[in-house]
Amino acid sequence: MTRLTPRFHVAAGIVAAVLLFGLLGPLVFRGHALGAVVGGLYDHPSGSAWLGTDNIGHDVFTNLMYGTRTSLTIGLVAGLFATLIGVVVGTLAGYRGGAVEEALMGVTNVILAIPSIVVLILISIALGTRSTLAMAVVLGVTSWPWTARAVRAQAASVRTREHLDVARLSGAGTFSLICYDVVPYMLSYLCMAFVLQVSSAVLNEAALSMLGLGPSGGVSLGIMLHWALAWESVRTGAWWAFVPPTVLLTLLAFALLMLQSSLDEVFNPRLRRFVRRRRTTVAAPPPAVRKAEAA
Amino acid sequence: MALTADLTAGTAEAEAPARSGLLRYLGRKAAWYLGALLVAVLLNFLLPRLIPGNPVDAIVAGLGRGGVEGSQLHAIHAHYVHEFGLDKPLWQQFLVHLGHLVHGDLGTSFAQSPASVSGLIAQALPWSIALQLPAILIGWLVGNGLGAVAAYRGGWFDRGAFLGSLFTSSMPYYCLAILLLYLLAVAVPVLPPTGGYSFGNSPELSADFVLDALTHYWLPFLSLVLVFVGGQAVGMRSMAVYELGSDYVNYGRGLGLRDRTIVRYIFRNAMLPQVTGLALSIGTLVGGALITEIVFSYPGVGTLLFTAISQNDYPVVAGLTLLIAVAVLVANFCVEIAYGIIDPRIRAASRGER
Amino acid sequence: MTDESVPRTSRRRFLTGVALAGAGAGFGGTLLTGCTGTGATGGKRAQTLFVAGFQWAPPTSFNPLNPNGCWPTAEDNMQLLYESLFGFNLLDGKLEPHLATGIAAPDAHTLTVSMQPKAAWHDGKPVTADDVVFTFSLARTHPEVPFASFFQFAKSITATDAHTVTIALDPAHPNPAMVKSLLAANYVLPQHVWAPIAAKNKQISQVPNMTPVGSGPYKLDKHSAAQVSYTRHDGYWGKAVRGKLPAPKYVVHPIFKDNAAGDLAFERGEVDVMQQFTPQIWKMWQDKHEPIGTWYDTAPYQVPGSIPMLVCNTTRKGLSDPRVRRALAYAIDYGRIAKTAMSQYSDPAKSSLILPRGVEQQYFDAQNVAQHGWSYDPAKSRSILENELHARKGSDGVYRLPDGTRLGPWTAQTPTGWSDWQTALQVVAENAKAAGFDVATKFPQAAQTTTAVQNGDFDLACWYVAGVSPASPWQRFRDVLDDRAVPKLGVSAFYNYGRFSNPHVPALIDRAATLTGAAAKAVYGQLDQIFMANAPMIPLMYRPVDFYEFNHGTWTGFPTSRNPSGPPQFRGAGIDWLYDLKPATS
Repeated sequence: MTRLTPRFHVAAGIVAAVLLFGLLGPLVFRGHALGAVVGGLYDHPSGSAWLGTDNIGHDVFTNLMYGTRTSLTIGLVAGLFATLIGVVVGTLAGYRGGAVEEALMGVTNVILAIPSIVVLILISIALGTRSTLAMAVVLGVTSWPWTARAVRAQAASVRTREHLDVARLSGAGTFSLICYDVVPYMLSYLCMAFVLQVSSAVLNEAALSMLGLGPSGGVSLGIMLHWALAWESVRTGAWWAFVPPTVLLTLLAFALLMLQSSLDEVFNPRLRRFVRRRRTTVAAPPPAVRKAEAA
Repeated sequence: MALTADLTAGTAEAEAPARSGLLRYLGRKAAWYLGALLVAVLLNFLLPRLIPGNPVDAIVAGLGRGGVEGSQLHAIHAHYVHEFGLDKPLWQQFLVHLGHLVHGDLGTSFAQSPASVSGLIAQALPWSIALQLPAILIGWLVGNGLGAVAAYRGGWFDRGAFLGSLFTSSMPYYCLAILLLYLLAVAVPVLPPTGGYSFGNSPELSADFVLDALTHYWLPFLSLVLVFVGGQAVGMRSMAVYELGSDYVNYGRGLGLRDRTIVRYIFRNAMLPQVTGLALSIGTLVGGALITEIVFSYPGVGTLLFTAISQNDYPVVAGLTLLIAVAVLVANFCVEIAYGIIDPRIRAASRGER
Repeated sequence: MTDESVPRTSRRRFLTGVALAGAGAGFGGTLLTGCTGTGATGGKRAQTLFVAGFQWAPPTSFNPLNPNGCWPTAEDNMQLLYESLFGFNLLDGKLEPHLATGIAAPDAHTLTVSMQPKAAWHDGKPVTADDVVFTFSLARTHPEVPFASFFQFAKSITATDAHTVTIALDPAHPNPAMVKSLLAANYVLPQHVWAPIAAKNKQISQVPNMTPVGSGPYKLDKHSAAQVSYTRHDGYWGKAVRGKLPAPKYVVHPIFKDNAAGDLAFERGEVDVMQQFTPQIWKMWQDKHEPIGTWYDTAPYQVPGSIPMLVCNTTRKGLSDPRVRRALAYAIDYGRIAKTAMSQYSDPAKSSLILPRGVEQQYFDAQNVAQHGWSYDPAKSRSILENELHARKGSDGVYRLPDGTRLGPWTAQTPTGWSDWQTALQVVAENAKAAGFDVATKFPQAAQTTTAVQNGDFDLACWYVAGVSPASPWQRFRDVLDDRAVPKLGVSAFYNYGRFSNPHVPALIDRAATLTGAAAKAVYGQLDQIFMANAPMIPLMYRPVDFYEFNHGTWTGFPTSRNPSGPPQFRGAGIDWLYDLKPATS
């Protein structure tokens, strides 16, 4: 992979920083254990509680670290599920074509027509006690359709390439064709789709948690927001209750989106605008070069 | 050379059976969408039954708090079960539901009986549409304009606009809503925090009321439109930059076409997916912004849906999800028709030439 | 596309400029109107009392027999439209005369109620004893009415003349207090309007009754999904009796989506008085200097009226042993619950079923409670588990009884959205875990939790029992300890959800029903001892019957502890302060 722009490095850096904060933060900042009572209802930030306390007396900073961890875990697992299912369905549909494609795409369209947030809410209520894994599975299983659609288009275009004819002539089976000749050419697209799925899974989990349907008994960024709203921290001015999770969620989503767009630039040369801009001052030479090639 | 010969041959062939091709295309699409609609109706019927618990339990529990004794409550429970048709087998309930739908009757709400579902939706829908349609339209216009200008000008403006749009589009709109609420309604109390209009007023067509509703509208509108603008700007700018690097642009420039003409071609090509996006956004408008409505206490479809789910109100949930599904399917269908008419490649592809 | 080739599209720029200017003007304009605070015209605002905290959904019914009826037509709410015979005052326990002038007990098994001679309905017809008899007799023919248990305590109700009602109590179990409680809480309906409706509709609670005919000082004006409004009935019969009409000409209840929305509006003075749980309300007058007040101006700010309980399902293994329940009771930090979950609106809960403040204070025996009750004492909890029960702590930190029963995994549930109860359960779960129990919280939807609690399908739950009323604390003792009319598991029960049973309780309960004063205090003391020895439910905190907070920016004269012109209620005798309000001088 050449041409990793500064934007890619910044985005990757932010994502890595958030990951480290969530996964290793509790080991580094050994202030309070999760669930330790540090004060009362919405105490101001102080020396012992860097971001103050929440509505039940726990330390907001500790909650933030463990909450990031939970949100990231759910996001990654759900993103993985969604991408896997989407890739399988989309590749099958795009590669086979014909009736299989029509059927699979029909199913995808119907699922897309039903608002996913409603299905998420219903399933979350039906589950009763929601473990982190259960939430990740539910989120993954409801968000694969758009990946399937996009992958289908990609697979359909890969299908027409010549190397596939060669492989088919040499007697390769369907499964090995898909694994070795189709998927590798879509890898770049799959990377971007995964990043987008993680981002949307994190945001969906936050949305569900804000409605009170998050992982039971745990802390996540969305659950912190839920309690911040339920205890009216916006009105009482306890900004430390809702600003940190909001900032972290935005940072994570922003970094993931920026990562995805810079990956898009890496894989799609036509989008590489700034690189070209940096090297050329006047646009005259390229057309001349192209004309020479076309002739 | 070979390329242009291919193109002319293709169009000559396309001219003759163009009409029947278009009709066949439309027909197939319509058949598919009808099928999808039927499946959606079935799924929407089944979905609310996922909610654990019986809707009658909630009603009876409310009565029980008043001191009604156990044996009487069971008689009442049995009566309600019979009245709501919950004692029939599932397939029979579905047929009854279908029968009602054909007559346009969405049923009566369980939790808020005797209110009819259509009445409740009719009350809430205008608020949702009023909240989102202007935000979507303005967001689309401003966002695409911004993206196009950014692609056009390039340089630092492009970089700044792109990053800024990426930032606002990635921020979850409910986070933006909470922050705006804090900044503009609590910290500096400039705008009203909640509701559709001031209390003491009732909806009427007077200048006073309209102005009042507008004041209440700013916060939810801002939180939605900023996110839309961001998203549209990012999409448009990417599409425009993508087109800028394509062959026909260089070819046209080499031919000596004026920049203004080339720009027109670029933006027309870049527009197509954006129009698709707009149509799809309008389709999802009915079910969207659920959390924004909850944060701002906007009496729209989102809050109605969430309340209905919490109360096991099957008819309202089924009615609303059906409405949303129909809106999305109709929007998709219109987009496919528009594509079929506008873009000849699509028809060609469906006829198997590609 | 280089910079030189950018055409000066002045028309496009001009249009963009115009669009931006237009948007800016629109924004600025509405900002200005927002700042000047127009919306409701000034004059009408000064005559309107905005009330909040009762109605959360669009009004679909004004039927007093429907528990979901719009405020205030649902039973036991502010008596604006409909009135009951008496108004209960929770400060002194008196029954103030509303549609009735007084109640007398000529003998131990009879009550006579005398009616107001001049009372009349909105349509002019007089309110007579026949209306009262008709209303309460509905309990026989339509068993879903809120006062369906009336004939459990009363044998018959008759109109001896046009203005006197005679109620014969059940001679086997006479309970005048429960009858008085039902008479005070339920509205009287006009027979001439409701007799045909009752005859036609078996499900009388489902009749919408969108044009309600009542006897109260207000009539229904308008309703929509966003608010419901009432206007004063200037021909109200009570004017002659009280000498004046209520001060506000209009009473409007805006319908908010949730607590936060109402609290924000309240802070800005758009709501005058409300019944809502508002966390840290003192910040409004201490930090922001808003003209806001509650009954007390220091903790606990509100008068306690009910006790949310941690209900233990005594049929579950482990929880069936009263020593385990007492160990759990010692492990809970009541002070922390009062400070966080109840935002200091409660004193730390004591281990008695009697409220230590207010009208029940006369029965509260502090010494009894101190001797036999519990308080937050983790050491005592551990000693009960290890020394009395000989339980062993396993490697997972959870105790096991000698017979192998593990103290868990138990779920503690309460409906989602009831944030103060949810937080209380979270504290309970944390304390229980630290003490060696395995308790996890669960917050399903309200309907599911109600079904689970009533059917006995739970381990621990936070639920309510009877609050302060003419029949308390008797009703609370019955709700917690008496199992005679409680169905078995799987069938809905409406009190004693944990199915607790004790052989000494029924006799004491029956005796207490007929006693008052010192004799009653003695019996309640004995019942309290049984309660404290067994801990079938654990009082978590105190809660007012209705939260009461007011903003005196537009109206003044709201009662407080310093100026008790009325009780801090909306229901019952709370209608009194409506007459004493005065517009705030600008």
